[in-house]
Amino acid sequence: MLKRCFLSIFILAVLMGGTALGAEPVRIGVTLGLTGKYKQMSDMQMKGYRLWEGQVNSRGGLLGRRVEVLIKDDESDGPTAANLYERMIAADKVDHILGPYSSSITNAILPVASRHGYPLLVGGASSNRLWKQGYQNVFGVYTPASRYAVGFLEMLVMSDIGKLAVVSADDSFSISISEGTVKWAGRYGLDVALTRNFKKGTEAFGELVEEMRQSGAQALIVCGHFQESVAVREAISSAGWQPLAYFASVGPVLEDYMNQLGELADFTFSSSQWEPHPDLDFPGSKEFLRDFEAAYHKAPSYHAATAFAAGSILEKAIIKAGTLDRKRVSEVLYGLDTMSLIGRFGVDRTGMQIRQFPVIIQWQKGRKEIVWPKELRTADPVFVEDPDAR
Amino acid sequence: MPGSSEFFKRLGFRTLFPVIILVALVGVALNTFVLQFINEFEFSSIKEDLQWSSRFSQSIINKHYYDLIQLGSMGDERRERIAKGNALGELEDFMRQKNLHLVVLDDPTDRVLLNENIPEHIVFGVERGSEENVVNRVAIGGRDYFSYHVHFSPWNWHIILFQDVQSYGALMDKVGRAHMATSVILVMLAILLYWSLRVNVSRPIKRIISAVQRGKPPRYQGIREFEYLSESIAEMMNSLEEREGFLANVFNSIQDGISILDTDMRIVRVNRTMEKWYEHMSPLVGRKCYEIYHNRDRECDHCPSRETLDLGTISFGVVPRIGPSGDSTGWLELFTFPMLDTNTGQLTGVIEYVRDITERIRAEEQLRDSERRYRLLADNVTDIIWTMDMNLQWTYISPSVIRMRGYTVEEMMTRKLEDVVTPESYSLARQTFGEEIAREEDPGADPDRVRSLELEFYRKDGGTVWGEITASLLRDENGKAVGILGVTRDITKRKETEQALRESEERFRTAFRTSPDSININRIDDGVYVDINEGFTAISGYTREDVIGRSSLDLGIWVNMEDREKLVENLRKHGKMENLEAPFRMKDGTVLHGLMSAKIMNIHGEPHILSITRDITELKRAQDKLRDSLGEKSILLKEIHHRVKNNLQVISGLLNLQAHHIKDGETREVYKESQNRVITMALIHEELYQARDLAQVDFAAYIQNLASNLFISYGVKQELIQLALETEHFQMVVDTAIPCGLIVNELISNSLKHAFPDNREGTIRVDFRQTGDRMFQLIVSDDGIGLPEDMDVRQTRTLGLQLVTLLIDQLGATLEVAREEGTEFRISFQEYFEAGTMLY
Repeated sequence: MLKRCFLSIFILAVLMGGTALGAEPVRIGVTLGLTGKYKQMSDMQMKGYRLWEGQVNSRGGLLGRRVEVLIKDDESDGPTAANLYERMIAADKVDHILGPYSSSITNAILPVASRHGYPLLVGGASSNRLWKQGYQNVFGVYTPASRYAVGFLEMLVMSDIGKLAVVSADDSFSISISEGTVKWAGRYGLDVALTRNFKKGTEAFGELVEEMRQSGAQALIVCGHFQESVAVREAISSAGWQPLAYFASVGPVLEDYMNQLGELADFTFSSSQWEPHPDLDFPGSKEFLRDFEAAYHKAPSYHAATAFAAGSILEKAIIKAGTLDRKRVSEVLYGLDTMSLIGRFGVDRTGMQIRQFPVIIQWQKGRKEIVWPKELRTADPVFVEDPDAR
Repeated sequence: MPGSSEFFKRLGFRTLFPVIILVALVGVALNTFVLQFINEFEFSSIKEDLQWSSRFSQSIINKHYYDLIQLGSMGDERRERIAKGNALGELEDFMRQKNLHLVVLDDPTDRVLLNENIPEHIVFGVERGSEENVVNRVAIGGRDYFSYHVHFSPWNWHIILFQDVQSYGALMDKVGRAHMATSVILVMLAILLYWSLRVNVSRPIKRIISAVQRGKPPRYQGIREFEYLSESIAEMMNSLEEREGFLANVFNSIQDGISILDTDMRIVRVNRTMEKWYEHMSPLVGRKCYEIYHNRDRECDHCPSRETLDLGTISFGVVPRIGPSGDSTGWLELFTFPMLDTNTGQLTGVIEYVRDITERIRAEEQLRDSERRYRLLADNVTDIIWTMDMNLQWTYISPSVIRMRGYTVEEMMTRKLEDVVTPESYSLARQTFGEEIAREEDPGADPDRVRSLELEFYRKDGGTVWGEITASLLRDENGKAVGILGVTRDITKRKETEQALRESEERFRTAFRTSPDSININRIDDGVYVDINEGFTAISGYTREDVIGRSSLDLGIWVNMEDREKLVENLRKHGKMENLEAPFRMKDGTVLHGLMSAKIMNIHGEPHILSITRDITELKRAQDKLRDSLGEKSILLKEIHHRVKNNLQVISGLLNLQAHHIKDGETREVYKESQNRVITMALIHEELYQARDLAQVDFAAYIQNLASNLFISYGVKQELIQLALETEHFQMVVDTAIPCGLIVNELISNSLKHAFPDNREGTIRVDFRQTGDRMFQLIVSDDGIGLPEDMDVRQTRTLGLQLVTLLIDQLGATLEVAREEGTEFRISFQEYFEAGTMLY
């Protein structure tokens, strides 16, 4: 009797398992710049997506079906990414897509997603431009670029640093940061002594640095990606100039920044969508950190966290919709108010994220410290006046 | 009538017609309503949106302003800059969320803090030219906007919201086009409807009406609905005559009379009942109503029909019913109703509705007679019958009040209750009335309950009289108490009797208490003493405490239990015991004789024994002495009787001896008679000394001895003359027995000597019986030859009969003599007692 009972349970388990394993998987397509100029951030994002893929399947998949994240290399190139998405939708018949890394590439695939009626969770881009072109069903996962430097500006006000220079790469993401920073600087009554754009990919910043120093700026804000943040830092150092504060977007949140610059990295500010911090204990944050380090033997950057968060939010939306129907999932995402490991999720009527906020980090003595907001500080911000103080 | 399927087929016109009309009307109304609604929406919703958004914008700024206050950072220029910057950021988010254009101006510096796409000249134009907190309309770049301008004074910011209304304009264009299209459709529908009505409704109706106007049922053929209408009208016209007949039947079947008059009081129509009532005046129609119904040549003085004709109102009256002889045979109730023309409303006549109420009138008269009789009864009863209202005011008093109280009815009616009774009685009366009023609140109270009370009334002569009041509440048809009905009976005599009774009881109590005889009252159930008097304690030696609660058996009073049983037996059988003589044991053990009488009586409903015992110990002793003395005297008397009898026998013997020496037979016979008379008296004494009672003799035995002695004395042969004695045994006093014996002696002797001559056979009969209380009848008869015809017993010279007459007078007896068959002497008398009147 007992034997027969166990046999029945086994058969049932096999049948049920067979249903999940045997059924067509839920295919989710995404491209990343696994090669090219965004490879560091894209690599982090890929790891984030893979980690989420493993976890969602360990939970039984989505709607009883296994999840398969199809990641393709867009070579950090917009048209390539657009073609890949077109192919994934038309040929691979992916059920859903997730956004690529960087605002420019995301911007390139928006027409594809819109044309096929695919909702797009943007986990690797934040340029405000993405939500100003009238595309529907584009959902920001984290703060738009225009707000990246707001916390840093607030610290400047509180430190009586009144004059700054803002330079930016000419990609849409960087320009969004630049425009937002200038706008917010005006609101806070700061004097923007200089604003300059430079071509994306520029490596020599000697002249620009000199111009900034001549402007009398006390603080310097560089809007760009990893390469720009490193190159400008090195140019400043080469020029023998030390502004009171140096802020660069994106790059300094990566360990590679420290690895590449060494001591020069110290005192650099940046904004991060997520940092491992005891008080930044959003749901799944600790587990993500633990699993990431266990899987990849390195600390995750916010890029990995935002990718993981994008997957998690899509998972919640599908579960809440109870269907993979993309129209229904879009409706759910517009009204969704939930938490992910990077904080609260909620968008406005254009799909722009309005509830998540970034923290400001500063490298201090080889460590990344949270210096804003005040409530989450791991260290007070340091504004270096004397070069000897370094 | 058409079948149901046909009916539904024909329903088409009747349903569609109103539906088309309704739809057209609703369409017009809806069109107008939608336009109105859109216009309203255009203004109100945009205004509301702007107003709400402006309030929300202010709340954003307020939040940051108050954060500063709460953080204590007011005056900190750096924090204020940050707060303002953050507020602008949030306003920007809000603006994007609401799809609004929002401009923030810093008033002191005229700096635009927040703006997107709104030209600055328009911004400043609105800021300077528009009224705050009011929706304004502005054109920007060929587009229409509504603007709303508010001022946040703490930071001196102007917040201006712009709402693009161009999107509403497009909607308005669509609505306008829909409105136009709807209007065109409605106009076309109206024209179509008009044509359709003209062709399909107006013309058929004219054809149908034309036929009806000619008085013919319409026969329309064409449109289905009007075919149905035509057939229906035809059916109605055909059935109209049937209805007229039906109404006439109803009119004639009404059992009350109906008469319809024109305005000249001329009868236009009557129903069968009226025709029947006035058939002797037939025909009725066309003649004046007063000629027919009242046998008059002009209108009545107070005519309801005339009143209805003059005033146009309903009128009523009771009029006599005139019979064939012209005399009134009853009464009629007459209602008159105005008859109006249904079209013009003008008065065209009168409807008289007549009901014969003769029987009702008679019944009412009988009722009045009955009431009169009852009032007569009330007026003549001895008791006072009265009624009062609920304010205790008299409403009726019967005339008998004058007998009891001396007041006339009129005098009494004016007097208040408190003036006619004593204060104590008035208080009692008010209290009783109050209790009854309170009981009225109890739904379970008997509505017919009666209360009795005794009150003392003042008489007119100043005295008082007691009256027993029996009263109940008078009620109206709803059961509500509206008055009091009462009867007052004079109970003064009863009161006096009760007083006398109380006094008697008092006297009895005194007698009970002070009587020298022993009086005790015992409960019959257990025999215990409940009361004793002083005589009891004086005679028995027991105190009151000794006996109360204990029985006679407990005390051991009875010496002989047989006496007690005898008492109990008599009480059980007869309820009383009289003169029971018995010994009783006293407290000190001495025995006294008592003469007890006892009777069962009820005290508080419980049976008790009242015993009265007189101490006769001394009397008993005296009686014993007397008895002893009498015994001695009796012996002595017997001896006297014996000696008298012996002496009389000696005399008789001497007379006998002497008679033997007389030769003359007649003389010897005289001697013999004397001898018999002496023996007669001797026999009495013999009976007396042999009897126990020295005063009475057994009269039967005495007569037997006497007769036997006479038969022997006269030597009567037994075979010739028989003696028949029928005498009851009873004791007779000596005073009567002796004369009776002598009468019997004389009459038997007379019969033996004269009734049976020549050895004639016969019988001598002696009957003696008691005929009543101490009344006796003695009959001595024989069937011999009888007395001579001319012999008067009372006038005879023979000694024997003279002696009989004498003795009869002595006894006060009556004598009757019968001579039919032999001779019969019938003597009736009363036992004679008078002492000292004996013959010897």
